[in-house]
Amino acid sequence: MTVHSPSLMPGALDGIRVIDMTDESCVYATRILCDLGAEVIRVEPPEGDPMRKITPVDPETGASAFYAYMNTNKRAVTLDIDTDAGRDLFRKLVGSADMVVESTEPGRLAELDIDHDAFASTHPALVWTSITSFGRSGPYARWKADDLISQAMGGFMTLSGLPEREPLRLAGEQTSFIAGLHAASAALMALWHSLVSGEGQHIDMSIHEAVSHTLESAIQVYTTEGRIRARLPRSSEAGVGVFPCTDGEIFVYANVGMIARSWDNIVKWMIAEGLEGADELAEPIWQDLNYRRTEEAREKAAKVIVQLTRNRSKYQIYDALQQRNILCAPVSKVGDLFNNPQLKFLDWFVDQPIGGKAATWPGPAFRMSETPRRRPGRIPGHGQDNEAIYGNLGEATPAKEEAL
Amino acid sequence: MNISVQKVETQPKQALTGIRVLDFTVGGAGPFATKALADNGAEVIKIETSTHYDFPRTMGPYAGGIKGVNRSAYFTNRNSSKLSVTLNLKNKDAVTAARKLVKHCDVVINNFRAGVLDKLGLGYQRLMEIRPDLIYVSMPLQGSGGPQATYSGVGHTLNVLSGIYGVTGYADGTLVGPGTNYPDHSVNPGHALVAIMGALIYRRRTGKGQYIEVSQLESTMNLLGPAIVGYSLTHENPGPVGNESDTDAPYGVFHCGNDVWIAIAVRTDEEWAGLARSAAGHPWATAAEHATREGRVANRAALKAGIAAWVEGQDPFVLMEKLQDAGVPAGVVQNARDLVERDPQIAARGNFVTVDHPEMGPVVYNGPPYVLSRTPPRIVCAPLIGEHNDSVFKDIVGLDDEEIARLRDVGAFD
Repeated sequence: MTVHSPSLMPGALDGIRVIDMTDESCVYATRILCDLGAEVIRVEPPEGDPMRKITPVDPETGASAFYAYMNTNKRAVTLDIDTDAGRDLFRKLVGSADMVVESTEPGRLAELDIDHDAFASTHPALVWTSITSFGRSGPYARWKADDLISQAMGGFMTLSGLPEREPLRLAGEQTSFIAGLHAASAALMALWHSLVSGEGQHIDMSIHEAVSHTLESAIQVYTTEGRIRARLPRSSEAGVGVFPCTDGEIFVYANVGMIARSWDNIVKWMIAEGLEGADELAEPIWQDLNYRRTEEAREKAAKVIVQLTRNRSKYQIYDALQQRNILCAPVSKVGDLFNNPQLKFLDWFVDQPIGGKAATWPGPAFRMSETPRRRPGRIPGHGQDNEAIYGNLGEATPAKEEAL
Repeated sequence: MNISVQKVETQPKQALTGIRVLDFTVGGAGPFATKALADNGAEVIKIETSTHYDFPRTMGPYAGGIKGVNRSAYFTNRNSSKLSVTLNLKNKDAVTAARKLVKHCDVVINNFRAGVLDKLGLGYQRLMEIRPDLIYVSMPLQGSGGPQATYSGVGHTLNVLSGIYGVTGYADGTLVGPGTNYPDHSVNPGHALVAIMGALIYRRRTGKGQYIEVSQLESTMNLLGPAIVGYSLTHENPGPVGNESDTDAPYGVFHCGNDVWIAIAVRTDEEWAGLARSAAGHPWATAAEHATREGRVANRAALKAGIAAWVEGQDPFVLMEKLQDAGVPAGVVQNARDLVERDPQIAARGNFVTVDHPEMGPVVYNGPPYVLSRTPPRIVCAPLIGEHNDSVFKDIVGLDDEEIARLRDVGAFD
């Protein structure tokens, strides 16, 4: 088993300490700060962090892949904010930090006198990001939501799913990524301002608003043209759809009007191949989006396109279509992704064990020439860094029952 | 309507005042990243050309439904607070002009196919000669080398290529995928933004710029991070789960009427008690075996049917309020009209902002989803095409009127 030593390259956020009290609704915010080199200290309750049980969980080791992915390279301490000693420790931790990112219920930290206001005068440069389901003001400030509720209320689900079935959420705790990245970028802009001016601030981040910011142009379609965008069929227009190959499926996006002339290009190729029904597709009516959206048009086009795809493997047809400038992509299950030739060429996936068991991780989300992201490493155990972190604060580890 | 008119009082300072960005990005993923920089005070100079419009300008929705390159709200919502300069980069004088601008910029960003700007003499190596501490961002689809680096794509194809399509569908196995060009509006601008901010902070500490590559495939696949890591441990492909939960019940969406749905997510026994109180008298609500999570999960199908019958015909918004008041996470599946016209939370926080546009009239923008207490973001009207040609080259580069007129005459500003 390979054991990787820490990177010798600097991190963009070296020297920045972040206190992390986020849950699954937004934890990607602190994961990305950690990738960028910040020292992220995750504060977990003494009874255990519920995130450690979030699926997928490896049945053999009990390790949560979600927890591992979101918290690798962080340090983990335990602390009970409901005790005086725990709050004292929290104050010292915050006092040592440049940033706090938290998603506690609105008002909870204020009741305990450990919210941003409690630190603003003594730590004026501190950047404190509060991430809540609806934001900390307004009539829904205390309403409850999770990934499903946020995708519903923020408008995303009205755009996904089949028209004849129920609206559909995206899989995989997507609000954590949507909200997490908005929160991390806002926090870094505020950190920049703090470094330049010495002035810290509070960020009030709303997951609801983040989702409603992710609706493509649905808000503008309504406010300019009065139309309400809704769920579309899988084949939204002629030339668009999922087609069978010898070893799976290919998604073809041969529409009209976008950056590539995909429809014109695929029709040209199908005519050259002499496919049955291809000639008709060159007629002018096929440039009319209203016609293209009819069932008749969609079915007619599909009958020709399938003649291209059904005798080829998905990577053969992917290459052949791309070489003719036709938008498309092979359909992949998660297990297929590891065989993507481009990602293999780029040596993108990263091997790094979890709980002593071999595991493969996604490579970097972005590459930086001077400050490469931290590669996946240690997954912190429950309270694993209590002694190291609290020791450096000049605190002996307090009695467990009291604070940790 | 749920739209706030932005107060134009004495403008407070903004987080990124003093940062200047030369922005070659087109479409969605790139412009969404630079929009956030611009809304937070950076001076973002968008380079476009009228020989080949940035495609959102020609796609609509258009103000009043009337076509025009300065009328698209698809464009305005991605390009608020920016300046627009037209440079036809096929013209050598235009490339020279762009290089002169680089000297005054902290960040250069593009989302062309790999190599496009390099061929024009606007690649990182060449621009670093002009501005050694430059932060240069490329956002190619699939990296800058490798067998598929030149392949094209848009958000919809990236949904499929990255595997998001392969996990997003109904619990019976029917795959559907996201209904939008999802990565363009989420991770890809988000990752570009955090990388730029990290690089600015590093430059402040060390004086060094750097090269950043946001491969949109690599970026998007991190959305499936837990699933990828999970597969590597178990070798089991996660199937689509629809709106259901493995671990909780009742959990999902329920039809109220006329294709209006409400999501209900009960995760704890307390939340269940709230739901049971709200539906007092219904057998599924009073059944003792439903008081525990195990009991509810074991009985999920019957429970779902009972709730579906109870919800059908109810006013979704009244039901949502009633459930939330009882401590139950519940939310109407809102559409754009609900968000714009009705949602009191969006209204109270002023998240949708109207700004007047010289051709379009009042235009609605999604504001940033956060409030910065000391340096609030601010939406400024998106630019007309080429609106700032003169001012940018005069005030920033220092060209005189004669040279600007010459550039216009030779077609550099097309």
